[in-house]
Amino acid sequence: MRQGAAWFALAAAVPLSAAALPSWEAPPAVQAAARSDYIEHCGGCHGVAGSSAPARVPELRGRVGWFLCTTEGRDYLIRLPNVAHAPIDDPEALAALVNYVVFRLGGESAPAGARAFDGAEVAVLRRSPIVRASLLRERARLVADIRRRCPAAPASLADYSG
Amino acid sequence: MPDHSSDARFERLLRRLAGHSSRRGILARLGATIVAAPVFPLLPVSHAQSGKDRSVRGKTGFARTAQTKDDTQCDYWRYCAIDGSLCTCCGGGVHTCPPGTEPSPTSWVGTCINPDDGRAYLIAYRDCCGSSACNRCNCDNTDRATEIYRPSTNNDIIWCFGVSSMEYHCSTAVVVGTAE
Repeated sequence: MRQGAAWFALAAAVPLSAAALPSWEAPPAVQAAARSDYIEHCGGCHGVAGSSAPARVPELRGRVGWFLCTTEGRDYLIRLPNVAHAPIDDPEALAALVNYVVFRLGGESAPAGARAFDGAEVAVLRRSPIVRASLLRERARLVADIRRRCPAAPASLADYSG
Repeated sequence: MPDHSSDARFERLLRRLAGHSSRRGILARLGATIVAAPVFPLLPVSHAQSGKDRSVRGKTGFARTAQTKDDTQCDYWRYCAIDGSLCTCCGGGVHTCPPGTEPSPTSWVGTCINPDDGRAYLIAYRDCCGSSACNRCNCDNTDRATEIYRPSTNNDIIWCFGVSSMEYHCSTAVVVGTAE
């Protein structure tokens, strides 16, 4: 009887924990292409593994996932001019690149339950890149909002000042 | 009269065909062909859609004539998009800076084909900074390089960001991954 109850508890717990983990599932070929695209188009400045220190470039490794804490922060990752205008026409491929950045380079920083980007979302967002606002001010505003709503977000998220 | 006889022959042929084949059979085969079509890799089409031609033939003249033996020459395969002095001629190596200079943590990334295995590799062109220009073995190759408005693939930029001095000395070519 106890064993039966344990099995039941386990069965109930599995879907919950699976849903709570931030995740991006994709076939190995898609993940390899996403990594290759990242290195080719972003890695020169952001670093092959997402770490650009000591250069004054936003650090992605272990941090970028926090932007998924707010809807505006999530949209910002696609509306960044170099992402929206990236020479990758296929929105699915661009979504895979950003998912690689957020869920692989960002590691544990994506909030629990954060959902991966898909091509449809990316196709819509990349049509409205940030062009009129100052990127630095916009980033500072978003980070302040993220730190209010997700108190676990590290202060280092605000480090980048250009 | 000859016309009638050819009509009759054609009618007999059609009747025989109709009598020996079932429409369902034809539909089933047609259906199977339509369903199965996407299973077969339609290579030319998917290749065109991906927009990435990594083949040697798809590259510029550089990839067709590149060599893999001498890294002090401009036609060494990793230098397909280098702009500047080769560090191999300046006391450094293909991926090491000469003594007294500092590697930049930022770079731009090119895609070069190794003629030995025919594969495309991602190459980070890291500048060595902090000493006056070496000015030996100056090369300017521009495979896939873009104008300055796409800085991440422009090779005219001095990439000495994040180092103590912006003074450019020479460039290295580091393999950072395979291009997929």
